[in-house]
Amino acid sequence: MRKADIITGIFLMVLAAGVMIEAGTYAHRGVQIEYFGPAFFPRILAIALILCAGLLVINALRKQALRRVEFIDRRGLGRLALAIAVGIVYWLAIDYTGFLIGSPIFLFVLMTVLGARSWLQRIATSLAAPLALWAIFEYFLVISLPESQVLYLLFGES
Amino acid sequence: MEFDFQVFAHAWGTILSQPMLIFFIFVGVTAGIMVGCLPGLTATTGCALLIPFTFGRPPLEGLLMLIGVFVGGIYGGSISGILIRTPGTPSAAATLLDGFPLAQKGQGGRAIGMSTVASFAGGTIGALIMTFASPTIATFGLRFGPAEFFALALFGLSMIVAVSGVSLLKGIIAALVGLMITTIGYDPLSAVPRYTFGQMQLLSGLEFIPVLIGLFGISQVFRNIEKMGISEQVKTDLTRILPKFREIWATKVIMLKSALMGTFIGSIPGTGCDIAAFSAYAEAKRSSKHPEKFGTGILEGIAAPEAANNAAVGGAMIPMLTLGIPGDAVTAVLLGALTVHNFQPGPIFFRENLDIVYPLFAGMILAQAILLVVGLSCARYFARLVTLDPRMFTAVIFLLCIIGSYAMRFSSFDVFLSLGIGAVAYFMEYYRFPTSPILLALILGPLAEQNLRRALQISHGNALVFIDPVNHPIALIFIVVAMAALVSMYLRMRKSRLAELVRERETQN
Repeated sequence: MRKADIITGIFLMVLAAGVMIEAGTYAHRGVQIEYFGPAFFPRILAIALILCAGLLVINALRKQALRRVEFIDRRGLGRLALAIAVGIVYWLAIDYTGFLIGSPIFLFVLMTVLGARSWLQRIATSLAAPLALWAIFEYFLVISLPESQVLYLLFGES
Repeated sequence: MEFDFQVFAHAWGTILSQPMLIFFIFVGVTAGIMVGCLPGLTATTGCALLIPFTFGRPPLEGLLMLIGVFVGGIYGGSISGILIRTPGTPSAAATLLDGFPLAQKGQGGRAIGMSTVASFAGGTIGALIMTFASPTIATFGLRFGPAEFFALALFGLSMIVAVSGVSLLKGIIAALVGLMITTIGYDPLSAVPRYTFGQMQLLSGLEFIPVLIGLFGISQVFRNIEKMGISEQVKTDLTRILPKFREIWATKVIMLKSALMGTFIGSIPGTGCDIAAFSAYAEAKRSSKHPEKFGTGILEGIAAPEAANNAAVGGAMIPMLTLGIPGDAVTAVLLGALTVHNFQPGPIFFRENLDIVYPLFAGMILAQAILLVVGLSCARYFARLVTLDPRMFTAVIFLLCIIGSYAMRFSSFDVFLSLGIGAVAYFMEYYRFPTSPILLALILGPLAEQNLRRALQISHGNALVFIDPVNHPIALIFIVVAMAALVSMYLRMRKSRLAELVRERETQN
């Protein structure tokens, strides 16, 4: 895990430097006593993070990095990337499909990606779960879930 | 602020006269057991997933449901631990040491029955101690000023960092990143927007719920998806669930002792139910007349950890309710739920919201009774959940995470934020960065920053105010204990890490 620790350490140091620089832009703003103003706490955190990240890199260079106990399954990672893509597409399209149409499609596709093969189970789950969720949110919690704009334009209601 | 029996009696009246409140506790306990049963979903994940279901309801209903999830989740973990040797929650890891051997002997039902009774006994003792001890501790907390609150926040963070992983440095880094996240948005003391980069969505900071769902819900879903197909499908078959009275009576002392230990350990910020369970198991084994039988499948080995981890639930609630400091990750989520419902946790919450606090006590006790009834009557059905196809429920949980992130403020930004944080948290676990310190930092960050700055302003910049033994002895005690915990944990980790490095080099050679 040496390489990972070195990369993470450097990334965190850059992040902390960015936090420090950005804090400088509002150090003199606000109504508080300047020294303990809005920049005070982020600066302390940034300094601490630079020190800790530096230590992480030094430890890794001295070959004292912790060993990885678990390894990412490459095939699993491919499946995960596909599942995330399905999730992103689902949510990007939610305004057009609405929750009630988009969610069963999302669930069906996702279960297929995950390797589920039973048609009956896939169809039943992908219909029942969104319907139950929608009923709970709509009637019990009185929270509206996204509705289809396309259906609204076509029929005046979704 | 003494314990008020009249208010407590009134709180029971409130709970028992409103079937909706009992219904929410029942839903919470049942959902908690289900979540706990499913390997890969913890009580923290359960609470994170169910917070959105509290949004449109009165705060008490939502909070009681989440307490039910906590209680049920800790118990539910033992079912999968006993049946398939995979603890549903980390706190059930000690239970499987004797639970699984019993299941192998065909006595899985007996083991689950004992686990249910011990959970009930431990949970009730923990809840009672919480009920009677909390008002006194809250009174103590009312004396706190900015210096004490800052020291308390530091103490809470140090404790969680000290116990949350194998590397102290990585724990501190995770906490620092969490603290940095809390500085995004309007500065509460000067109203200056920080790190918003002109984005309107960031003005009020990163919303707690999407971050929480990302850290504990989405990351777990990602992990389950990546690992899918690696674990084998299992079959479970349960015989008699109801334990014999003689068997329960024989473990009464172990249950009582473990419950007291569990409550005490749970009340120390940063510890939690898993440490309570292992400590109680070790103590039960040490004080047993037949320690050699532990690990071979005996009921004492189940009674001790289960009584302790459920008692720790009550223990962990004490600092959360009285001082606003979460005892562990689940109570951090509950604390977040309080803030979502516009409560400011801490001693003032305790003083000004007796109509919420006392019903929470009563609800917590009632949740134990519901756990006993639901656990004993439905264990057979919960056991079947263990065999549920993960491809189905993982997809549904993914959907729940997305909708939960969205429902807080109907924002797609929050959905993508949740996905992003979930991805980061997923990789963090692989590279041995703990995620719990981030959650605690999100809760304690504002408390730490505001009180640090206030204390320094009041003392005209004198940083020694935090270690002033005359004017601020409590702050000094918190800081000394926090430092001692960090140093002792550093020494222990260093020792185990050196051993790990030596082993690694030997393997390479």
